[in-house]
Amino acid sequence: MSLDTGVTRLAQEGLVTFMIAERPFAIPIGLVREINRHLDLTKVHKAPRCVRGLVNLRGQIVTVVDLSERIGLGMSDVNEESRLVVLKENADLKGEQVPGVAAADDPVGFLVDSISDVLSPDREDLESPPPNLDQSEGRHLIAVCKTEAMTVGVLNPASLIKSVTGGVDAPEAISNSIESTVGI
Amino acid sequence: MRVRDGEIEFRPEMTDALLSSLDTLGQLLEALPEVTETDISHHIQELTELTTAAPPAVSDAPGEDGAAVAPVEDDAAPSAELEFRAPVLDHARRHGRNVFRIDVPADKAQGEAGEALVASLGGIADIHFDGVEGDTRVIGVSSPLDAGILAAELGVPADHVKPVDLPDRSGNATADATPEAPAAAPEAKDAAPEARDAAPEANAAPGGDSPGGAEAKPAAKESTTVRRSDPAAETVRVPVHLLDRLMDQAGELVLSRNQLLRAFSQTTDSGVKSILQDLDLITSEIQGDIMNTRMQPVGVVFTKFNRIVRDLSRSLDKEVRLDIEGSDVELDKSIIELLSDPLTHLIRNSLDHGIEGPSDRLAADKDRKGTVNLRAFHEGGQVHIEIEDDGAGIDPARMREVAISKGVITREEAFAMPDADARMLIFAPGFSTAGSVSNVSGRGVGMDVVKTNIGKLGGKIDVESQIGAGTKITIALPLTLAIIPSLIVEAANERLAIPQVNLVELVRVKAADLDRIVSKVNGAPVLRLRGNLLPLVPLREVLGVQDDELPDCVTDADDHEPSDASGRVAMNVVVLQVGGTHFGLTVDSILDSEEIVVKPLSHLLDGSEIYSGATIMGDGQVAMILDAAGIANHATLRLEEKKVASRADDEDATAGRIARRRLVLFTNASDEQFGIDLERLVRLERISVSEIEEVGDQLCIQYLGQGLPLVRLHEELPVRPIVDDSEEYFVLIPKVEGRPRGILAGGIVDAVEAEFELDDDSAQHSAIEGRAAINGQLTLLIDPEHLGTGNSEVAA
Repeated sequence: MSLDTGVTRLAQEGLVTFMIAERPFAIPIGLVREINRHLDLTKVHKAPRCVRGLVNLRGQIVTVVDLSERIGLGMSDVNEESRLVVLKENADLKGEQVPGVAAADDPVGFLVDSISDVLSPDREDLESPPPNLDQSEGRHLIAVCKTEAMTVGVLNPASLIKSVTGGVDAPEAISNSIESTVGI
Repeated sequence: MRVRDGEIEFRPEMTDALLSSLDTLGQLLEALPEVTETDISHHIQELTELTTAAPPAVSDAPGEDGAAVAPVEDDAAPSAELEFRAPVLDHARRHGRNVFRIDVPADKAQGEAGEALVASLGGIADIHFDGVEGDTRVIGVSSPLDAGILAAELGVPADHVKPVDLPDRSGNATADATPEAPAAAPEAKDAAPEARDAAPEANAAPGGDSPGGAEAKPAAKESTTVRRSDPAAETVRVPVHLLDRLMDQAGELVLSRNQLLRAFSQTTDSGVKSILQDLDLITSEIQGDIMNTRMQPVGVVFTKFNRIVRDLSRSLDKEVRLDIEGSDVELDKSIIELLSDPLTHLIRNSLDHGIEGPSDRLAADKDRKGTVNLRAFHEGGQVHIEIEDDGAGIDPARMREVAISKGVITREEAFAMPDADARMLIFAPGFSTAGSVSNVSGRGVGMDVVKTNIGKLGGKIDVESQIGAGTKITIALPLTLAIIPSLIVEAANERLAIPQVNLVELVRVKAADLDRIVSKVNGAPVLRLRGNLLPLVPLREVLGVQDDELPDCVTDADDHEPSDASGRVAMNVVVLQVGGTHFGLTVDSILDSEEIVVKPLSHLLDGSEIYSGATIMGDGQVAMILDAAGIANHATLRLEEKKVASRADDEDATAGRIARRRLVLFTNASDEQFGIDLERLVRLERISVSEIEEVGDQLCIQYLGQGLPLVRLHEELPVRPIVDDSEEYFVLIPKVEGRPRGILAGGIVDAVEAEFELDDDSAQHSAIEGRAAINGQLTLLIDPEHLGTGNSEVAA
């Protein structure tokens, strides 16, 4: 199956790869604002489990989402290797968005176990996510990137953020799937 | 002009016509640069009728005549007039200004004298043209002042200041916007310096002064280039988000400054010290100034109410004057923006429900004309806005009736409700007392929205009213939304901020007093606070942190309060108010009070109702801001349980303790005094004997359209009967569960706040709380809960 050209372009700009629960994942670098070690977390009681807390990023309050917990792979430990991948806000993208793949509306960062490489995949390295992926992580993937050593799932930040509180936005999901099958 | 000169008698319709024309013109201007086809003929007709209905002008300026279609081509003042091209004139007229041509005397035309003249003009008039005509310096100005005053101000002979008559807009508007008009306007601009030569072209410009048109854009541009002394030139438009960013960054700067100061606090280098001092000062100033950039005078909102009141009073056939005070009080821009709708609603309400019609007012011995006072002022670090009318006032009894009929509250609730609360019913959802639904009000939506919106702004709204004398609605608002004073507390090793708005008081319960003052009812802790039971909500529980047994046995690290035998230490209670409810939040420790910058929470945290935002503390850590209302909601179910339980608890616990309570003292027979808690009473009614009806052996009175059974104390208690030779009795109506009943009293002695020791040994009856010596007289304290229930029994 051919991949959405927008997603391909986004992925070819570069993919930030990282480990969560000992498995490699990636996010298009175009959607990442910065990667840092600001993990002086203020816990938010009564928040969804995957929201690990808030950090102060130079005067901005960033909501930290535990990516591992979010896609159902269990809570991460915060240690020396842990990093915060802060997403760009949609306002920063200035209309260069790929339909269905977006950054956050407010400052959000993903807690990951460790940061690996930045990949620059060729077009043929990228594929649509296989349909037999298990539900929880499968629905958040927009592509799969093959490297010599491994296969990396490319995550869609928008879907990860959106469904924290309420589940996947149904019409959006449907239009996404239509877009990807038609191949806009 | 002719109105001003007394040639035409002023009539209100003129203002109506002018205002409605102004609205149309405003719409047309807004629609620019698109050329819109709008029918303005009815405005023109209105205006023309108004001006032509009066005798023709005696003035020396023919162009002023309303019916005149042609632009001024007269010789009276052509050279000056051609400088005031259409847009300038139009602008001046819109702002109610007169336009003058000043022939500057030779001695003031040049040098210092000339500059001084221009400077003094700057304060009182807008200069539109400054040039030389022949040998004289001619200045064209527009000013709200009269020619004589202007001349006196400038120190020039009166005849040197000549009014320039404005071509009437209605006349011009009828003229077709000719195709050459757009071209004429820019031409006129070029021609301006050579006034005399350019006369023919420039005169074409007023001819094209049709509000409908394509030439309006260049014309408007021109007027801005001509106005030199406009204060608007000193201001810059800045996008709000830029200001927001600036404010964030200023906050960061303060933070960095603090860190720097801490890092260098031990330094002895005097050079570094003075640099730090400067930095300290400048940073504070920057922060203050940036805060000020967001401030706007409330006058921005207030001024539009003149028009609203005017239009509304005419459509309601009422006569109302609006008095505005304190327009210069400043508030944060975001608050001002959100304030407009609630205020509009309140003012409409005052006019519609508050102020009576002229005939009613005269009948009530009031001035024909009603007054609405709109006032803004600073008080206690807040801005207060008052809307006060001298109308009919709010009748609490009627509020109750309507609220019951609309199902807003139950009859029992209505009985238990004090008058002040009943007035607040106007803010209840689905409530309206308007007899009929109008397009102004009475739709039953709105006031609750007003209250919610004011609440969102961190403000409070309150109603005072006197029947027949008027109503005063007070809104208390924080100066800015962005920074709020708050109390920092700690629970479960987290710092949390509580907005001061919700804070009532802080209570510290010593370890030794815990058993006595804090009790646990049905598993829920309550605090005895000045004779009231205050439900306690442990913050740890709210946060979902597992906790030990309650009442909370907190260990306070910084606190070396001697703990009692069981190792318990003092308890910190933060008493919060949400609407009318008070509750105590128990926290581990109370740290500090601090001004915090509120930052909104990510939508990822939408589900957590207990927070209203987050903030960054002085040390750079993030702290959550607690939402008092959210916490109250969170704990509501438990609060309900506690209410029932605490009552039962009250009886055995009141025994033998010193209490300070407010009592109403009354007697039936002269030497027997009874007391009842003031707080437990809803109402005290004076009745005459004739009002008492006898149904079977039950006495009743009519109260709020219902029969209210009366209890005679001697029927239930071992006391002497009421003396029945009086014409007048009192009925005490207590707050009780179930069907309301009144206690018949012979005479009211006093309402006192007394401290006394309750002797409960003498309480042999469930309706007697005990005996106490109050004001030197033995007094029986009545517990209304157990009176007249039909099953009261003498205790063993």
